[in-house]
Amino acid sequence: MKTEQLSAPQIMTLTVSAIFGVDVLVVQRELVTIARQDAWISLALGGILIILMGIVCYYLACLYPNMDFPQIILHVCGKFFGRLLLLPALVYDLLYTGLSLRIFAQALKMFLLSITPMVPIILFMALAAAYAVYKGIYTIGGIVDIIFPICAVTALSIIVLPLRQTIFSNLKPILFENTGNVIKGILPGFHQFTGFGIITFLFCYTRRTKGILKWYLAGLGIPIFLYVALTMVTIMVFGPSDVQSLIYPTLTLAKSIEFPGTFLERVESFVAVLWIGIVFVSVVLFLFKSTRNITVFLGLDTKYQSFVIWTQIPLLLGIALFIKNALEVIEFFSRMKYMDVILGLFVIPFVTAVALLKKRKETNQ
Amino acid sequence: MTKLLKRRLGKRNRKIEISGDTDRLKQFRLSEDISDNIMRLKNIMNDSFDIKSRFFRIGGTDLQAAVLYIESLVNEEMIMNHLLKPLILQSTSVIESGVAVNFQTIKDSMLSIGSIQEAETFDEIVLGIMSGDTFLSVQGYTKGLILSAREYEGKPFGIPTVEPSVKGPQEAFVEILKKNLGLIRKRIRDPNLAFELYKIGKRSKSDTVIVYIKGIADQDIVDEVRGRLSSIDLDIELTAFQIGRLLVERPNSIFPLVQTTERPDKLVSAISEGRVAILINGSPDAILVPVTFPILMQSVDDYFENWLVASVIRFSRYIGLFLSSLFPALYIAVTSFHPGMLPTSLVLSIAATRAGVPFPAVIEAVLMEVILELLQEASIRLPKAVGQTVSIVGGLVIGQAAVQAGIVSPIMVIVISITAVTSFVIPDYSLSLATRIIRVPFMVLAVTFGSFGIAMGMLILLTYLSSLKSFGIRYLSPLTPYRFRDWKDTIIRTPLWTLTKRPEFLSPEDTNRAGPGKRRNKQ
Repeated sequence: MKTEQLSAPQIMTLTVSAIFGVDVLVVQRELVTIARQDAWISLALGGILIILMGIVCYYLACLYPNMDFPQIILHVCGKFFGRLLLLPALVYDLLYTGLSLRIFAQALKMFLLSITPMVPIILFMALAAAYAVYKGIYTIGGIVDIIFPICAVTALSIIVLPLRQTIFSNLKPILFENTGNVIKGILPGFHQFTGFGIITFLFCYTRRTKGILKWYLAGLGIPIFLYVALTMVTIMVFGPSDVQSLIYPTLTLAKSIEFPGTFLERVESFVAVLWIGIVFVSVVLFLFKSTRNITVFLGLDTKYQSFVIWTQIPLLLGIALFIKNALEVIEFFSRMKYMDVILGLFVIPFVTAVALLKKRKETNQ
Repeated sequence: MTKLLKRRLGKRNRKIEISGDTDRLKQFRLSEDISDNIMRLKNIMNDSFDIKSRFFRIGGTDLQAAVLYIESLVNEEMIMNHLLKPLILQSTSVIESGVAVNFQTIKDSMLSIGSIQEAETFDEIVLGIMSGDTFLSVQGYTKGLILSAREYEGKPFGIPTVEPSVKGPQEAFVEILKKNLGLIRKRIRDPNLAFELYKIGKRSKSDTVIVYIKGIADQDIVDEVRGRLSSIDLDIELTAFQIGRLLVERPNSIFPLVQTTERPDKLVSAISEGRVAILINGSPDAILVPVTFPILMQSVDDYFENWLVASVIRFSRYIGLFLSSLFPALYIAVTSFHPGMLPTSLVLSIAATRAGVPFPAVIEAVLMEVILELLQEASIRLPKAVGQTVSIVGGLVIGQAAVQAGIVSPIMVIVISITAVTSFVIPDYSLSLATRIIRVPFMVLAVTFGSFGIAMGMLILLTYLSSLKSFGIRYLSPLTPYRFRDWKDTIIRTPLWTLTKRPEFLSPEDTNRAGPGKRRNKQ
């Protein structure tokens, strides 16, 4: 039998799915608080930074094409220092997955299941995600390929359908006495695209064909475009002041959609249902990352990986339920994502630089 | 000496390694050595087990001759009585009368077969044999005779009952392996068509044949089929379904991982795409591997209609599949958890029909579902005439009575009826059964978690389907991984003239189905 490998288009769908997640519901809120009507510019600038860092990640993966990120980091930085650098990535992935599950359950309770307790929702989602990770990366690739068009169409619909209600003047004045805030918003803009470094986990499973970088960049470009457009439409519909007070601006935006003929009365419920798939693949990919990180961090053999997957469930449940207040969870989630900024802007470039030096040394020898 | 001969023949055989059609054989001519000719012919036709040859002496003289034919296509009795008997026994009287024995006298005076044709090159000989003719080679002559002793034409074969089609051939396989192979040979006259015989079953020793086209089918898949078939350890092999269950990677999967067909045209189409078929003596069904989910949603009728019509019909099948698996669950979720999703007038109308019904929607649905399953099972088990009565009594009388008695609501009868009807649009019976099975867990999820439960159920199902493999091929291919070229014949079907390539996901050795110049059939 032929060895199975991920295809180049799957790199795109997996990257998009890793970036999309619960963030899509709250992406506008934090940025509008900082940069007001120019939030979309901060997001776009953060997107440009993501593309640059994405190229660094791709380059790092190319240097060690048969290893994934935790293996590279240990190989390049040594067993002790490597583990020291891997630890924040490990903690971040676990926190992100756990808090994603919590925010997901919160939103679901608000829009779909008002009387269902949060624990079964979180547990159900976590177990389903663990099952997908247990089935392996090629199965995950298959799931993501099917869900990707649904995600894209849903996101586009949320952007296009409320266009009738938009007020363009809500975006004005553009960059008027607000440049400082826009610059301040770049880093929060950057961390909205958390998950961009997934290529370092996928490259070793990918068929070496031309155009991997092209597909990867497309995978980065699609969420950047959609997030920027979503932020612009949200600001245009509600105005910057109202957006700041919305807990889930995207779902509220969906709520504002009016269908002629009143066949669908609560569009946001349908959006919430479709959004379940988006969160699912995001959780699956982060769980996959944390599984790989833990396995390599503990120096475990790959055959124990399935054990690592299932043992994370209680941990994720603990993280998800640790904070009681719903708003505090969202606040903590936003703050926690600054860890990704440190990882993306410092750790990955540092590892890449060391890897380059090491490679050069090896070549000279 | 033997080694030298083998090496010499081996060299020649390598020369006539062919791929594609018989046209490439035009350059090769018969030699004077009959054993050389027979060996080369067998080699060209992949040494399939149903190719038979016989060496003999004409009328007791030193002149040697040989015949070669395909067992499944000829009337062996005719060959015996009108070819071998006259040449071996009855020709002595001709020889005794002083007539010299040579190629011409054999042709003119010793054979009692109607149609005889001389041939010198391998292309016409191979085509003749593949068409059901018999080849006669005489020692010392660089030409041979193609004799007509075909049998397959006009023979009564089975009629498809499980896979009927509105248009197209109405032939089905029967229980006799030889006849089934003839049905395939009749449709493919390519010498690369290979039949490999295996004896399966410790006691039954059933003849089991692997069918594929050399040069198209991926050798990895063929090797995998060979390996798995050889490893089957059964006492008695009975049917294709049994073998199918034993061949798959995940025998517990409710989704079919091999495709069974009773239609020779479907089998021929499958092997021409690069798949492999398995036929078993005594079973009127063939197994096709590998199989993917989109393949199971295709029907032969799709290729007999205009592409637009075929695409719409195929797409409607997917809608049918969706409704068949999820419609009762969606109804339960919407009525029990999210009535606000529907327009107010519709909610009120549903509520009015449910007034007075003592059970919650889920109990109603399960009740109706059980009755439906029992009716379906009963109509299969009973003789055809009585089966229809059961359907009428069950469908109309019980349904109407249940509504009037206030046990179920009319809307639930509509929901279950739509579910039943949509399950019939799925072309593959095993897949249809799988959708019936998954309906119940979806109902349980709907009553527990509402639409969230259904969405999660779908995601778990997607994970499961995505993890399935059939002979190394992902079950959801070519939907995933994306193979844009193969999408031309997946959920929709583009015009036939655009389908010039074989499905990429099957890794065929020859990817081209037709050259650019052959795209005449624009429909």
